[in-house]
Amino acid sequence: MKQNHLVVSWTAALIAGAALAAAGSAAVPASEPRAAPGLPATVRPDSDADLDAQLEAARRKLEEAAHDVARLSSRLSGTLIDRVMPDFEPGHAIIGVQLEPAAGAAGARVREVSPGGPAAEAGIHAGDVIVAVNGTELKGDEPSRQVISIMRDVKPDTKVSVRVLRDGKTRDFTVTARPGPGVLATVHGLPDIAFGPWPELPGAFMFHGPIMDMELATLTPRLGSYFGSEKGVLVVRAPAAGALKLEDGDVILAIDGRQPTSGSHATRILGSYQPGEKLSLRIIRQHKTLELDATLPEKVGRIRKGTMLHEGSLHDRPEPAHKVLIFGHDEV
Amino acid sequence: MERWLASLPSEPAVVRVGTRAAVTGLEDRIAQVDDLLSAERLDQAQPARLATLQQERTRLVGALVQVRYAETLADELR
Repeated sequence: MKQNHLVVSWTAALIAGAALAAAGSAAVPASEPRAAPGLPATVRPDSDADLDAQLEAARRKLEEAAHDVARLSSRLSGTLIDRVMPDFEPGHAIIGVQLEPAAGAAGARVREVSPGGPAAEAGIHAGDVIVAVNGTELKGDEPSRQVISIMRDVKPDTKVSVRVLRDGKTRDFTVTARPGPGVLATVHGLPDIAFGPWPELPGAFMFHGPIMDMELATLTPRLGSYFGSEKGVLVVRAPAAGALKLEDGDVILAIDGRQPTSGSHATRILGSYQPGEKLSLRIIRQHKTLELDATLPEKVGRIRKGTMLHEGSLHDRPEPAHKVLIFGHDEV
Repeated sequence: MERWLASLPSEPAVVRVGTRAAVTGLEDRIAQVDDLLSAERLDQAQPARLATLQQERTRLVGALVQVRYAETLADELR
């Protein structure tokens, strides 16, 4: 555990350093030469290629640090939630809100909206009062329980209609439900959360390996007309080593029948699989629709029990954290 | 922190899957904690349990801010 805290501190320091560096860089005149990232001030790059390579290295460090923050934070929370809630009911979908009874009115008040969650994406705000879900009006003493009850019958990825009261007016939203606590463990055959820590963050296998560098863009109408599709997600950079059989410029229309609506959605869909699992992709390549049968790459990193380190991760770097330089600053 | 998160576009124009997986994983975990908090409040859980979960939520939101900051910065380095 001590190691984990060190890692978290390392990554936090790196990101904080990035913030400091970014803030500091604003004060440096554009004409003043800067040291390259990761090099002493006396070492000057002599070509644009060097600068590009070092910029890419700095970006990669940032992203690797971000992966570690996410992975370690999630594992810590999994352990804690497992301790606090050892026997919660698995299997229901969620919309990403914290609910409480609405004072003096019928309905369930949204106390918090989960950042990046389904409700937030749909436009629901904290303070809204949910008065109906899927056409069922909330009545009685426990409207929050009614919402939870309704959500038990909802499957992940299905659309839920939510009517809220905001500033005295009703508004209707369509929210796409996501898997709730325990669903991931039951759906994908992972260890029973009641008998051990929560599984690795969904999609964590994509932090390393060939999928990691795949780049996706949500199709805009203009992009769509160029690539010959109104829907789908554009593969800006295909995974390395021919993984998933994708190529630059492909448009992903469906993954095992699930239609990605954005880069994030495609990432969530891919993250719901396990390394080594097979999947089917419907794509457009050079204006032709193709079906690809592909296999997700096996996990590249090997988690060593007790240390939670990945092969090739930041922790294996020889230099101590305080010597990592980014954006040309000698000190962090 | 949540106000800053809400001010960001839902995703960069081009997403790198590795980093996006970190973002979406944390977002999903926060949503799951929120769901647990709703259920706990309904069952009139002990304040200590609520406080523990709420603290956990705060920590996860902090991690999400860090990851999204890194993603935004990396996107600008393209």
